Amino acid sequence: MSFAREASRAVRSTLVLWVLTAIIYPLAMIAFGQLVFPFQANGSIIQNAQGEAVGSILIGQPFTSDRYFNSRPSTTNYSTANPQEDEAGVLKTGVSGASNLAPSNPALLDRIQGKSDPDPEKAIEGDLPRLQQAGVKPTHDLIYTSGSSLDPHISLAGAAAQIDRIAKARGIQPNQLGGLIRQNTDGRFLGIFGEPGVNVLKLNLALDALNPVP
Amino acid sequence: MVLAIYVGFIITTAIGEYQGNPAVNALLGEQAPNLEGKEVRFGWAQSALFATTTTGTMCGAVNSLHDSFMPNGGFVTLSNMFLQIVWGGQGTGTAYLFAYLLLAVFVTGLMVGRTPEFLGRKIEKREVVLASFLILLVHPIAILIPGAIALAFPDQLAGISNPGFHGLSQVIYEYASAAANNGSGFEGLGDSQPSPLAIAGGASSTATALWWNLSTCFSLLAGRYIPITALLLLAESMSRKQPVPLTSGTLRTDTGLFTGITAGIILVMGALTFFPILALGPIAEAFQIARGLG
Repeated sequence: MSFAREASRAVRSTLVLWVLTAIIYPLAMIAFGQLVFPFQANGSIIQNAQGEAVGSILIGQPFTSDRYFNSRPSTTNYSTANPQEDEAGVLKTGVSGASNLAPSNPALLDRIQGKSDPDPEKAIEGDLPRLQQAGVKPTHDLIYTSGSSLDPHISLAGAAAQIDRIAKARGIQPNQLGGLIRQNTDGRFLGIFGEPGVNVLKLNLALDALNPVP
Repeated sequence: MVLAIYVGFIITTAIGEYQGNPAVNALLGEQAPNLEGKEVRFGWAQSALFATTTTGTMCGAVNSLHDSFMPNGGFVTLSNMFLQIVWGGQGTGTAYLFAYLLLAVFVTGLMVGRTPEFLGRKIEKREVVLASFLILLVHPIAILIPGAIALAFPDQLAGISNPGFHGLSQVIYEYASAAANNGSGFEGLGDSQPSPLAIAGGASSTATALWWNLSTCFSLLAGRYIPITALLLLAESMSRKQPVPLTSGTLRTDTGLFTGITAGIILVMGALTFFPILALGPIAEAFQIARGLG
């Protein structure tokens, strides 16, 4: 076979593959996603009672108020930043990451139990004293940070531990909250893999629906 | 046999994660699984399963951060990448298993004084040299030598983020991951260009990132291409040999005894090469945690 024919065959097969993998396949995937799974394909965005988009069920958000179920601690504060001092561009690009602290690292214990330091810049509040101050019995998910720093869930025990605090802050009956937690629990994958978790954003939206902000 | 090692590794990791960090458990006042670097929906069990599988199979994706695993997890993930046969990568796992089998045949042949044969073909000097040196020795060389260099300059080059024994594990894990074609890491290590997270924390890891990017190249290339070339040479020389007829004097390689010997060879050749690292890294860390951080 001559060089010209070989070269033209190579060019043609490249073009065919390019059309197939760069145009047809992605378009087919977009069409499939939008037709069959439109909710998931658009980021699992959920809306509040007023119809505004408030977040994705898959991405956690920081909740620190006494009136809401609080999320797990996060190394990136759930990819949020102060808009005035956002040098790293967190709000533009988003950020994710874990503490990567080894179990033997004293910094892990400092972060959990807090550390006092004469220099207020260096003092660490600690997740454990913070929870105890808020009257919440510490559970393991509420003191360890997650791998992605965007974990949307807390454990069932972690949610149950916060019931009393929220009931007091909102002046409602604790037993109403137990039902809400059960409704917003995501079970194990296929019934066996992983652990059940309570979706914090969904739970707090349901909480606001039950007991609207005055 | 591989399944047995695999299950044993999963159980080891899972026990460590389930029991959790004793220092933190003391603060909590109860036993709780170690959830640092893990998502609630995965929990301790699935994270342990995935960590064992991903490091064993040269996958490298993670669903939880290996750096924050208990020492049991560090031991298992490192061992997986040192051995490279607990399933191993697509094709390479089997290839490494064959290399170990050849060595097992050779060693047993020496023990009973027969010409070692495998699949009806004689194993001679050339095959043993290829299997032992090129396949089994290149891996430790690609991991331990750059690891030693990095550890000699911990501040300038290594960029270790966790103090003590765990820092050693971090450095060796990075090279093991590179040489074993894995790609996961003990990610606290300053091995990447500064992330937004690092800039926010005021840390700069540019210098160590340069070292890691260049030195792991050596491990990546050596860990892949030298064994591949050696395996091809090995296959070529095996295929050219005249098959020898099976006689009553032939050493059988399909018995339980032989499988046991192969397991022993893997342990001696593969695991003992790296045992000092495991002892100084995860095992020492486990003792440190058991004693209390003090």
